[in-house]
Amino acid sequence: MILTRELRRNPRPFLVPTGVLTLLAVLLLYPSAVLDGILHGSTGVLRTAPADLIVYARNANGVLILSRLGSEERSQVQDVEGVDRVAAFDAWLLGAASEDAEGTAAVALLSSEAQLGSAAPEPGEALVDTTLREQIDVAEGDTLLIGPGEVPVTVTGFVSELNLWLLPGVIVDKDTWSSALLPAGSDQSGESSSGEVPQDLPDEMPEDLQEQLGDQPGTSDGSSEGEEEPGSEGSEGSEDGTDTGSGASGDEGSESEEPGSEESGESQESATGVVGFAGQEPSSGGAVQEPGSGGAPAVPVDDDEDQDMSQLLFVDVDDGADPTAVAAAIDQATGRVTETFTRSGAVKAMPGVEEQETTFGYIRMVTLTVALVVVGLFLMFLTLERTPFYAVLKAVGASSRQLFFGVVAQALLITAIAVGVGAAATWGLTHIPFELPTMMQPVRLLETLVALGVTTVAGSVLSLRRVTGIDPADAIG
Amino acid sequence: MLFANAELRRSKARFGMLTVGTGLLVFVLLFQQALLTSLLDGIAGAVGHQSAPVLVLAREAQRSVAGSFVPPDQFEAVAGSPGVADASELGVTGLSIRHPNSEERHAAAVLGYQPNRPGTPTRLRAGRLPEKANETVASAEDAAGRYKVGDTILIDPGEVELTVVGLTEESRLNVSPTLWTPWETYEELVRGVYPETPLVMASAVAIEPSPGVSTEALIQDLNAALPDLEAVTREEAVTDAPGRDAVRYGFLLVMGLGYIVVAIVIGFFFLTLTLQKEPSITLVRAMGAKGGYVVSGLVRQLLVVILGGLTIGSLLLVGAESAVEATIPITVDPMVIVQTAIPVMVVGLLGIVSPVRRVLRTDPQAAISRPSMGGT
Repeated sequence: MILTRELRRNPRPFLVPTGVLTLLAVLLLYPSAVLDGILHGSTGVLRTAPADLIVYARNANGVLILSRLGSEERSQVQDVEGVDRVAAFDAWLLGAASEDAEGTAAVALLSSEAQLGSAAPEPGEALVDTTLREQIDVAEGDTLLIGPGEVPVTVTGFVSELNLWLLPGVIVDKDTWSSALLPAGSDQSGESSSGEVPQDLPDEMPEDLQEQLGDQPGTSDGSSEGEEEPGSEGSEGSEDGTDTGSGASGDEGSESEEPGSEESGESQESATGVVGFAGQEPSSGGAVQEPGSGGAPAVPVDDDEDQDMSQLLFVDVDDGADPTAVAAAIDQATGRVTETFTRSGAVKAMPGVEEQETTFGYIRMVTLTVALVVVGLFLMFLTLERTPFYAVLKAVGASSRQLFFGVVAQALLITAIAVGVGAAATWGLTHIPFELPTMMQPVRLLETLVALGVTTVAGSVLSLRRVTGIDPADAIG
Repeated sequence: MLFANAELRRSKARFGMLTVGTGLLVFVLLFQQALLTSLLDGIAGAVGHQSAPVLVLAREAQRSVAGSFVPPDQFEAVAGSPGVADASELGVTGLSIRHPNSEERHAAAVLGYQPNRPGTPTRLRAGRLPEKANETVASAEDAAGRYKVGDTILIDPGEVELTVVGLTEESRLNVSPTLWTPWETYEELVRGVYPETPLVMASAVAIEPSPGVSTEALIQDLNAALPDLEAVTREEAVTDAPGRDAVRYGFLLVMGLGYIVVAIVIGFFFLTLTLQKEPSITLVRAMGAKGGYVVSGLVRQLLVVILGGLTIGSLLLVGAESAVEATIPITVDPMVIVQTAIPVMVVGLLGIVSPVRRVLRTDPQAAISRPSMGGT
């Protein structure tokens, strides 16, 4: 077509509009790359979970770290028609260090009854997300020290897309997971299982722990608030071994010989360890994140009565069953104690996901509107400049329709070139080390190409009237 | 200015479109700036707007307040250090809030502090600070559609009722609704999630230095004495919050591109206009108008376009503020508009450099030598 040949023959007039469209393409592609990078880095485990449905405790509001489900809920879920298999899943944020190399990294410590990655790790082994290698020097066969107690695990392999909260995932078995959450100095023999406390605990609270609980924060004027619940501060220096049904402080010297609670009538069997999160909070700034666990002994290990607690349940449905219907049935069967999502629903329910997608959506919408006006302006001016040329074409027999479609074809060609160059520029920008996670996805490129193409065509319409109104006599005059 | 004004009147549609285009670009820049301000404030604004000049965190938390915990023995060590006049707990956790009559929950950051001691929030916009248990102040930016002063809200897990007695400003954490509540209530909330918990630890120790002791000296001494902990100023706790710099650089990059687009669009428009009007400009100069007269006309037209664009962009931002407040609270700040106007003006002026040079190169002689004027 003659007008597209014009682009090759005399590209100069088209350089500026192409340049502007390229910049607009970058303005669309780069924020999308940032959004996708954040979402992918925050939700890998959930997106690739080996399950059709993911079950949370309803009062956790989609926040993994707040969800706790016991054996009662699990058996209720298992009994729902359409449910094939139920598997427990747990995750926590901890610090990790390579035994041989410098540096620490925050990791998401994962444990799942359903296999994540290539193989289920044995006790003392770990599968690690590939992104950990960007932070510390670790290879297959190396030993990682996990958590405040520096539990050693041997890296048996690397997997991808198993990150969470912008942290690399480290997959271990449940026993290792529970051990890693215990404070430094706790018994790491591995005899404790699922957070159960070893049976040979002393009957009385160690003196140093007793002292600490007597002076604990929250009563910084030194006096007790008089709480009587289990775990209540022994401000009087409890002498009968009461007060705590569960874990100790993060103090180095304390052991996990949790004393019994007279109130609960149990002794030495509750095993809530006090855990410090020693890692880095997921990158914030609107990034998807789980609320921090700071300030609380926050281990969701088994409590006195329920030895089978977990944070989430991964559910596979029977072949042919409708996952949405099964999800509704699960929540009904548990009396709405649970909230069941599909994988994509679980991702959307994570705090911040929807807000980020909406915000970036606004930015894209406004940028496309800008593109419409700017492209329209440029095409209008180009048409103005080339009016004599169009007049000649009309004089030799070209119809207005042909001219208009020629203008549209030029606009689309410019757009395609601009998006291509813009994509290359965006790729370059994503490699600048801002420590902002980015990911370019082909679908975004296609979306941008289509969106800009549509706006360009719409912008072309602005010059339609002028093109069709050109008088061929102008060419002669 | 006759020439410039006549141009504006004669080409209303073109200048109108350019003004609208500039207005939309300015809106994008203003929106991104407002978004950036909201995000940067929302990441750790709460930490920066509490009363303790010094905060002590777990060193392993890498200056993330929410990721830090300070065991009791270390707390006592800090509190007993020389140069510390007062030390109190600051706790951070994440929970959900909802209205008692609603099932809809919103994720929220909850901070526990000791009233009237270091760590007390300092930016109260409405109401009062909590005076007793189960009272809270909440971030005003997130109030729309969620809560107001006097409301009762439920905290989940645990279904603990809190009364909102005040609203804070610029005191958010983790870019989410943020509640401040007395330490005893904070402990109750944490135990609502973890009932077996005997001990609720502080995320940070909020410190008031002794009279005569500088924050720098105190920080140095604490860091030397307590290697497992890290003392920082509250400003450092804000600026070094994880992710803050990355967000800022990312946004600045995108906004920088936006400014370039403004410069190119304006420059291209005026250059094209100048090229089209070159015969007229030549004639005007031949009649005795100095180059400066024509250039000042160009600058005048630029000012009209930019001021019009700023007006359109600002009005769109005001509209956007109410449209997006449920999702992400942004504020229309006149200072931000001024701060955006200046670089927009600068890039606009840069954009017309080329047309100005073209105008100044115009040779009035060319008017006489035109065939229509009798030349050859």
